[in-house]
Amino acid sequence: MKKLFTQTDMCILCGALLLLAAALLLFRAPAREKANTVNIYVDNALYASIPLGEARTIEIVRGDQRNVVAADAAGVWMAEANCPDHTCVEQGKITPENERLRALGNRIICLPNRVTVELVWTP
Amino acid sequence: MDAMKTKRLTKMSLLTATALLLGYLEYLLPVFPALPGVRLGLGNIAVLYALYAMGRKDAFLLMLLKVLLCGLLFAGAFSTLYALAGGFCSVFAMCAAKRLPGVSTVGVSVAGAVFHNAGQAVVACLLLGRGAVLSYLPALLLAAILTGLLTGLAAKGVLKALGEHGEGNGV
Repeated sequence: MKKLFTQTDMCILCGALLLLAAALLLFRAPAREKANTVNIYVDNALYASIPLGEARTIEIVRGDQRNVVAADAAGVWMAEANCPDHTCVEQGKITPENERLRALGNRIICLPNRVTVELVWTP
Repeated sequence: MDAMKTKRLTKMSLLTATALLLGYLEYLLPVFPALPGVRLGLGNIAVLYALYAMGRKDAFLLMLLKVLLCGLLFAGAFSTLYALAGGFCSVFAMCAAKRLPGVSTVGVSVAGAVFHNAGQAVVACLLLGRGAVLSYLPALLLAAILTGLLTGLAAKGVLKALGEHGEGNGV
């Protein structure tokens, strides 16, 4: 082993960083008005759409897969899930204030159970 | 059974066990709770080692064994689908990257990690819808670069320590 990084490694790294920059420019969520609606998608189809601001919970059960989405006046979060990794629960609460700062933006994604919670603006 | 065959069988068994153990370890320690599906890719150290010390065919076989056994033991059906897509893309990218002149395990590993996460994103697009995943791509790519660097450096250390240069290039 001569050195930790070779010139070719640096080229691959630069290529990866360029891809990252391109993805940031192309796919960053566009600025819009303050979010006022929560959309819940299951298996890529709209399952429920509720206005943000009222406290409630929505239970989604399909077969042995179960998710509980909770909302209050400030925002929405995944309260419970029986998926193996529970990352959706750990993704925390989305509010109109933090939606542009989170790694996942305005979404909570449960990959194993294919449930997506999304904060949107509807006129 | 001749000696070469036994040697290969033993090595593959040991590497499969190592990859599974590393896979289990990172399953216990999700490093980025905010990012679903993102893991350190520690098991890829074993795949990288196989690629350098044993060749493309065995690296591919090891990836397949790791994904399927991890799926059976602790990941679950849908996570296995993501892992399989990621694994295929990763091994193909690593084989391609290894052909570049002057490349080391670090570059190969970064290329593998980037394509691994891109492959997972494609499967997620199919299952969850396009919009949900594309805005997540920058975070996935950043995670891939960081974890790729880490596993590449680790694999470099392993190859150095074991003194196994395979085809004699790259390390």
